[in-house]
Amino acid sequence: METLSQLPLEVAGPTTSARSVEAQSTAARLAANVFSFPVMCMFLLVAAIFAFSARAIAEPDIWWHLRNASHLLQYHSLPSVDSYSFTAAGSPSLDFEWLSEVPFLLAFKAMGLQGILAVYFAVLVMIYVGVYFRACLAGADCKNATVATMLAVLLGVVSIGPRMLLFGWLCMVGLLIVLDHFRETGKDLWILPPLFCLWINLHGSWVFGVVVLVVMIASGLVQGQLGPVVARRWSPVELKKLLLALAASLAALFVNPFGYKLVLYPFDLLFRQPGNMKHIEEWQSVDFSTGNGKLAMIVIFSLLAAALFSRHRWRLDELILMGFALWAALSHMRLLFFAGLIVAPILAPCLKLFPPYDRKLDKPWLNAGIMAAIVGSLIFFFPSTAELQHQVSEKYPSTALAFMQQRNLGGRTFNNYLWGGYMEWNAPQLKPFIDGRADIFVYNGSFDDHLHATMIQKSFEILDKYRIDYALLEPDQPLSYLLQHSPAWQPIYSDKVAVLFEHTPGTGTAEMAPKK
Amino acid sequence: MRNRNFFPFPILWFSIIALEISLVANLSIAESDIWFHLRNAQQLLTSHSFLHADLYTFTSAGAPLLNFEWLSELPYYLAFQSYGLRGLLAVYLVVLWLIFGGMYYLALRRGANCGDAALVTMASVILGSYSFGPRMLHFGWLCLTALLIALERFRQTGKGLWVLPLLFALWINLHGSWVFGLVVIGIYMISGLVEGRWGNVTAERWTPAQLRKLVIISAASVAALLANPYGYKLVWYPFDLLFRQQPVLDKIVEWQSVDFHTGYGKLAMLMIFALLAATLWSPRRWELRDVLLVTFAVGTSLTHVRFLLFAAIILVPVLAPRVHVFALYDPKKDKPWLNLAMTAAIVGLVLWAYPSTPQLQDTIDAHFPRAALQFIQQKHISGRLFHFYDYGGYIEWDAPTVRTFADGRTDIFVYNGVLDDYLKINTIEKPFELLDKYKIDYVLFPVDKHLCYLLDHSAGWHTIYEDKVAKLYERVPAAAAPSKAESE
Repeated sequence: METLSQLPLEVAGPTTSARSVEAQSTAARLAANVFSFPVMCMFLLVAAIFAFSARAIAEPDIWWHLRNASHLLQYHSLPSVDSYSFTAAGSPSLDFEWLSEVPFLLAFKAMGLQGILAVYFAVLVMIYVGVYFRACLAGADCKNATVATMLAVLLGVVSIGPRMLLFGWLCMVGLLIVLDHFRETGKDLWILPPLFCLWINLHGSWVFGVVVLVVMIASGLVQGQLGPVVARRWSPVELKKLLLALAASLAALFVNPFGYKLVLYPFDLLFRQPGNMKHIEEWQSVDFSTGNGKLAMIVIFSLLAAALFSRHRWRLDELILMGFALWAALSHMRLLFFAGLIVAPILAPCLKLFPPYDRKLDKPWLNAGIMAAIVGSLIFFFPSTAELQHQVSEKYPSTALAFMQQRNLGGRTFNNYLWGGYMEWNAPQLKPFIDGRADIFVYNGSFDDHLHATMIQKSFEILDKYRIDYALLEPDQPLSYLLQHSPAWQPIYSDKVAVLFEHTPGTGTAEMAPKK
Repeated sequence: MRNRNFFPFPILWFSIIALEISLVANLSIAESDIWFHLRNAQQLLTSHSFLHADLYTFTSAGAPLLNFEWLSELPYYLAFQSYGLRGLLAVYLVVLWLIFGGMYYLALRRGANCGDAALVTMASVILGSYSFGPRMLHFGWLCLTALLIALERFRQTGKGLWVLPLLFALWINLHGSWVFGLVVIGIYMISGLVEGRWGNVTAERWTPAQLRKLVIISAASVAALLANPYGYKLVWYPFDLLFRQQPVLDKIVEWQSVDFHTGYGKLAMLMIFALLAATLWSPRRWELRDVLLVTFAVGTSLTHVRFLLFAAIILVPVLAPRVHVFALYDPKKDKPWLNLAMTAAIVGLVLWAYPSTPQLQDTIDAHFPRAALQFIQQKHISGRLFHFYDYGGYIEWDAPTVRTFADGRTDIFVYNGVLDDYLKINTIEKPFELLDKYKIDYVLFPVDKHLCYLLDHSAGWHTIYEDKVAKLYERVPAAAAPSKAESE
């Protein structure tokens, strides 16, 4: 069978000098590597990631992150107290994702919404290329690795969007690659402390990194085989290196603008913010009747099938990590992304869905054609600013805010939870009731009050307590219905996205009977 | 000559399982659907005819219906007539004992050690306790247990399959879960169409004679389904639920997905990890039919929390032979008199812990608006009542003169849009307009619901009765509901 690397030699003919032949042969080998089938598979994954990314710009939290980054770049200091809302004004706050916010703001300043899309698309590509790379490295055939990584992409859809969390998962993939490399060569653990130093300034998910590192170390403290599960004990040198890397990584966590407070923050979320965990949708359990749930079900059955049908040996650390990822993801939807990162490279070598890749059968020019078509499609289909703005306007009250600004309506506004950040970025002079930072509002009870008001539990009393002048709500939410039927509130603006109520001056609300 | 053991150790283990079931089941008497089932059974026994149309509500009065669990309702009604609430509890306790006793027996028959089988059965009792209560569904799972035992016997001896048509004829009159029985038979048949070994999974092909028997019996079982008072309509009913009653699947809590933050969710998580551990570490080979059955059971139970009990039943005989916690039972070392004494003590404990009627009545009163209904009857209130969904059956049984808005039968209210309207009112989606649409005069709702907050702040409604459980609102006579005023 003719391979691509042979072709230039034949074309070159007898008159070509030996040096030229060698150069062309090197170029052909390079071309064969660059345009190989495994690389083409990677491009297919990139196309899939793009398909999911292009429709995910309307993320509620990105706006207050942009405001934070803008504050940082303008004043060269991190916001240490809340200055955006009226309910938590002056409360101490940690901008615990400050470093992730900067690239989003810079991209937004340079290219607007297209810049934001470009940043999170690039981060996603790096993450999943890392997952694919690890799957191949674990011994999976490239086609099976593509399928497993595609499953990871689908699991991660729940978190696709302009989210700071993605930088955290990028660090996770970096950590896993470094640990794979260490297991193979015993080298390069020195990267971990700088990685954790970076990670804590990017996102709170560094805790998962510490768990991964500890599991890795602990599972090498024993040696043996139990059924298909094997454990290899670390050599004393390896163990020393690992423990030193762990200690140095933990120390590196303190290299951040908030010191120990930022290190304690993830535990604060766990123990002091039950309202956040209980009521925010992405912290909820997986629902198996939804698409995400069905994917989670596929993961469960794939793991069971791998254990039943495959002769694959499981490393103890893989098994523990897989159990941890499965538990975390089933309990909290948002961690499906994490489960995808962990499970795909473990599952991929067990898959035998296609005949193995044969390098001799590869057709680099066909691969190059497909890759070029994918790159062309990405450029052609990359959404315009107007298209992205349309996506945003469908979810956020842009015209209602314009109305408020035109009329100089400056009173206290009770807002939909998901719109707080958008208000802070687009109408900074309007102080919202709440935004997606959640924590500061949980601490002072305004999160619970917001929840009770929107769930029609003492709504009027809570609106009175905060002396609310305006309520900016979705037209079909129960609180809108309640206010529509109260004489103390008048709708002064409404469109498909939002309705704005004004409190009639001089009237209380809790005592009021509804209008007739 | 060898002495026959008159009271072997495995029976003592079963008595411990029975004790666990009693203790767990005692807590779950306040089931919202039992009341309309009692009314149905009363109707059947007094009129000697099967229900064909709704008689209880004003929203669906005269709507054609199938009383698809009519046969399960009779033992509950007869027990209630004889012993009141204690009778209800007794019926469902006995049914649960039979179900889990059957699965324990099946686990032993498959080679599990009695202690390990009891341990797995007790874990499955906890997992399945989500659906505990006086429910018709349990009769269906009892039939499933019988089916699994019959199929296991057939696999081991080639005999006893003739029971199945009779079983299915009974099953369809007890509960709609007979469809699961057909799926189980289908899995048994299909997994015997291939032979081989794949990893740790094996399959053994049926002999032609076995396969012929299975096919004939399956056909006879399907035919036997028509032996019911509603004919083909009752056979079609489970598919009607799947295809025509989407709001039931979407909105009724027990049809929702497992929530891993709840106790049952954590048990479901344990189930997943237990299965993973069994697949990894048990040296015992997996039979293909068990793999398919477990996949079906886990899939349905994670998607619909009400099927956790189904999964619990299926998993006992699959997992128990793979668990090795206790020392192997040695019949030679058995002490029948000790077993008997301990079992007697456990039976005594079950009887001692059995709740009194006042205790059961207190549980009911904490969930249902008995005092509010007494108020309604004392005051001869007779207007149209909108009430909390779970109260419907209770009102129909406790205050049969009061016509309800809807009850747990659900299907007839899905067909005519009443359930959809109920859900809208409950979630504050045009509630005033819908209360007007049905010309509602009174609203009876639990005190902590947001509809109460809305009505508390409405000039169109005022409270005429309130206790810890429920609030009764009356429409203010001269005033139309605010929404109506607005629309006018």
